Amino acid sequence: MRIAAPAALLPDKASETPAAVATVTTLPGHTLEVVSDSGEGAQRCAQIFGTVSAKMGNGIWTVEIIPAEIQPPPRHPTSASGNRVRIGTGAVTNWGDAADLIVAFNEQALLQRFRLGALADDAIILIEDMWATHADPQIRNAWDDAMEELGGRSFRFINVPMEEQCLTIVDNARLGKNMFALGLLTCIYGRDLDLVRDAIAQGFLKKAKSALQTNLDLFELGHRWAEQHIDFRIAVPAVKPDRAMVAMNGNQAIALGSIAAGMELCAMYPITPATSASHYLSDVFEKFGGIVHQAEDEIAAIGVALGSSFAGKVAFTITSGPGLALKTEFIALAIMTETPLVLVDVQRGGPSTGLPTKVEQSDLLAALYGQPGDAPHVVMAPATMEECFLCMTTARRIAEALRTVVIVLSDANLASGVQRFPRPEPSEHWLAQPLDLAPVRDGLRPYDWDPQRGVSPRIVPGQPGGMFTATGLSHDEASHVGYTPDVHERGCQMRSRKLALFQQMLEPPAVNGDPTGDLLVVGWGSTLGAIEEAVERARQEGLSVSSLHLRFLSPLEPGLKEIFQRFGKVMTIEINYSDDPTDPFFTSENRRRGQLCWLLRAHTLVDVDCWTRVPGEPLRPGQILQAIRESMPQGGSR
Amino acid sequence: MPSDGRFGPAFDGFQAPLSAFRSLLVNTGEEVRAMLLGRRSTLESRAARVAAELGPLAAGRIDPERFATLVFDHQDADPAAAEILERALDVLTDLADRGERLSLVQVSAGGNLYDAVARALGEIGRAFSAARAILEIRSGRHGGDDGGVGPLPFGRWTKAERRLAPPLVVRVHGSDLRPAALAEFLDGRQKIILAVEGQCVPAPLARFITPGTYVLQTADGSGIDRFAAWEGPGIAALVPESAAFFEHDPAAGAAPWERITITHLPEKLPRRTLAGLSARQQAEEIDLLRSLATRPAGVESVAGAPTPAPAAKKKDDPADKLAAWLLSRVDLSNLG
Repeated sequence: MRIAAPAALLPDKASETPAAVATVTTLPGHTLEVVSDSGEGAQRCAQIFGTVSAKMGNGIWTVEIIPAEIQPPPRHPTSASGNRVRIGTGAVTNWGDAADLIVAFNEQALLQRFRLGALADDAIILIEDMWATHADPQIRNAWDDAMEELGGRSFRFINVPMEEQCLTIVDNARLGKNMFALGLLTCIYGRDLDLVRDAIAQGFLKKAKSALQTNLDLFELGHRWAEQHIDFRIAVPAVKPDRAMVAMNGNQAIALGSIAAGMELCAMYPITPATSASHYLSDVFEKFGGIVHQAEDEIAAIGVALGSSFAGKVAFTITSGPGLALKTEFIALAIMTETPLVLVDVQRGGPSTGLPTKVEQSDLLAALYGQPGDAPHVVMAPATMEECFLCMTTARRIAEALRTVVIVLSDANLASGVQRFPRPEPSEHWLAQPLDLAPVRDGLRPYDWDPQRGVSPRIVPGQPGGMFTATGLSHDEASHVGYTPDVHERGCQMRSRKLALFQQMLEPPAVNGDPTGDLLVVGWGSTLGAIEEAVERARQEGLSVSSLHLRFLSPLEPGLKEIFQRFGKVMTIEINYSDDPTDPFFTSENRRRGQLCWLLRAHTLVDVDCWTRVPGEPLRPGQILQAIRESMPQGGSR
Repeated sequence: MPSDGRFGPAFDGFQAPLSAFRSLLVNTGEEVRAMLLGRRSTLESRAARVAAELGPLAAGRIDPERFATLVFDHQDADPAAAEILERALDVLTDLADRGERLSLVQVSAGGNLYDAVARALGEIGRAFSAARAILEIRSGRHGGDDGGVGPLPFGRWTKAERRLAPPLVVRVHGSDLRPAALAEFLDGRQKIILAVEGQCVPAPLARFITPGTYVLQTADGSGIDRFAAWEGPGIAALVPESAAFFEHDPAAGAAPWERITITHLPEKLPRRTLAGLSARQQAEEIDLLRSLATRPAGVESVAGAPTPAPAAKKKDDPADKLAAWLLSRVDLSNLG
């Protein structure tokens, strides 16, 4: 039995209404998704759409929808690959709640998005309709089943004969539907045609002109088809920015930020989702005198970075959770030898190899406490793509000033999502000062700790009079191995003291919203935009909620206890696991909490609660809003 | 003065080392200027600099004034050290401003060639005095003395400094050309070019011929380019047509006759004393030159023998020893 598309699927084939009578709806923002099987180019389509929107002056935030496997089976719900693009008239800080419009190359990819709650209740669905009449009865049945599951809702279906149309230009439509879809979207959202054409051309710089022309033809075909068959248009007005803007993802931002920060060496071993940062870097680093070194493994990578830094170079290493685990010993060595080192951890789902392509914030405690022994160091977390760029400069300077390790915690959401932000204006001050190779002062020892500050002047190889044996063993000021209690105690004291000193240099974090209230939501990393949007919506509902977002996790920013005490309740929002307190298995004694929650409870002795999820995707503001509503203290104001 | 016809060929070949030395002066001066700026800076300006170094992400999150206490060394505040740095900067600026004139020496009529060269090198040595003073301060060894940045005689130059100094071009009258004492300045990469005016003895530089020293006598400047390219010490003279023309290139062979090329010898022997040398002494210099350039009868060519070069490593060079040991560890000659 063949099941027709739901009743809301009107018209069955797209309307023949010409463009002249299309209804234009003007909105402050809209969210769309393009999904296909892996390899059909949905990501490319959405990336171009996002980039062009940013160039036109719209705020954007994109999130990649990536299957876990490299070559997943076709037409399977878990194989959906694509992008969500949220565009707005103003700045866009997160991926939103649900897609208002989706272009699906098959019904299985659409089904996966539906099952994940990614579609708005009244979403417009543009779907390739070839599967409904496919020769393979199994495929037809799968289509029918999907339509039945999707039925009975307020979706508006528009069947699009992508295959049929594309075959008028190419023999293999699978390689052309993405450009056709781009044409559809360009027409619906009124994107600048020339900008789109330029963006397509950018992707074919190294390919034959005929390939570019074919793709342009497919794009024009999609645009014409939409003009003739789609009866609505969506206008998201763009505001011309008063300054130059850029749009990039967090990994690009880290790569470019490392250049701006005067980094000289990136030593890495490929690992999702960190690898692309080194790809971007390897394209341009040499022009700035830098080197990307792909080592034989994670341990070697940090070893090269550590050795380079010891020799006076400005080096960093980049990895993800499993790599962080492997680098543990060398992180501790860097801390013990007081060698400046920046380590970027682009977090993914864990433990073990976990969810390589999915976002999670579950490396926090490992980054903070993962090293055996007492190994104090700095941990910081950028919250936006712009901060990914800027944090490299800050991290490098802190690492050098404190002679310690700075771990930068990014995540898969920041790494692969694209955001528009003001073009950074690099300063020569961000670059590393030339090394002073003057002979070391008479009597200066390699760890001549200032007892008040815990820091000591850095000596690099080549400085006359500065030769010493660096050791990971407990040592005294002269780097002589010493196992006596006083030597070890003093070393631990000094390494800790400089962190305490640095903590005193930090400013208390700013509170978003009223300084007092019923609920304070605390977050870190990429959840900033979703949390602040949720808080804003909660405040519009009359709830007394504020938020606070931490950038420094070690040492923690000061004044937290005092801030927390001004609120009836404090709750962290995190993308890591915590036990559900309503689950009868868990009590207040055995309940495992979110990682930031643990940290804040330990540091402030305040009864901080948490709301955490591990969905393998960014948190949605609507989810957070619901958590806020449910977490309001009894008697909370409305 | 450098545009003077006699100096043209000399300076033309030496633009690279002259520019390099001037760059050294300018760059060091910039470093000192930056050091002074840091020492003179107020807490506010230090904080501003630290804030700039930390970047925009730190704005409002890290107190730059407090962070500045981590970055700036308190020893920087020593006023005596700052004064020495000021003087060092003045010296470096002065020497850099002189340009080619720093390498130009004029021996006044009846003057002493040795004294003039020693004085000029001592003046160049002020750069090294300044650099040493700066190093002392940067390394915290400044002992409260005046950190002298005055002339530094060549005899007190280090091995490295002797390789850095620019060449000297000395204009001297033939009657004052008594170069023998200049031998003590021929070390490192130091080069001296004598632009001789008027008549001079026929082979005034013959006595300088030693295995590692480039010696050149020319009337038209030919050979100056090779002389300039030599990595070791050298002395050249732009002499009148009446003198001998020859070139001693240390890299040209192991034996003196392989290294020396005589292109011209005066037809008439000297008959009168000049520049303190009797006619006989002058003739002996020509004989010395001729004999050194002549292969002894019955002696085979030593072509292929190792060429001595000043930069050549001695057998007991630690690096050679290490390399030999490493090779011995991997020597496979006894295997199978």
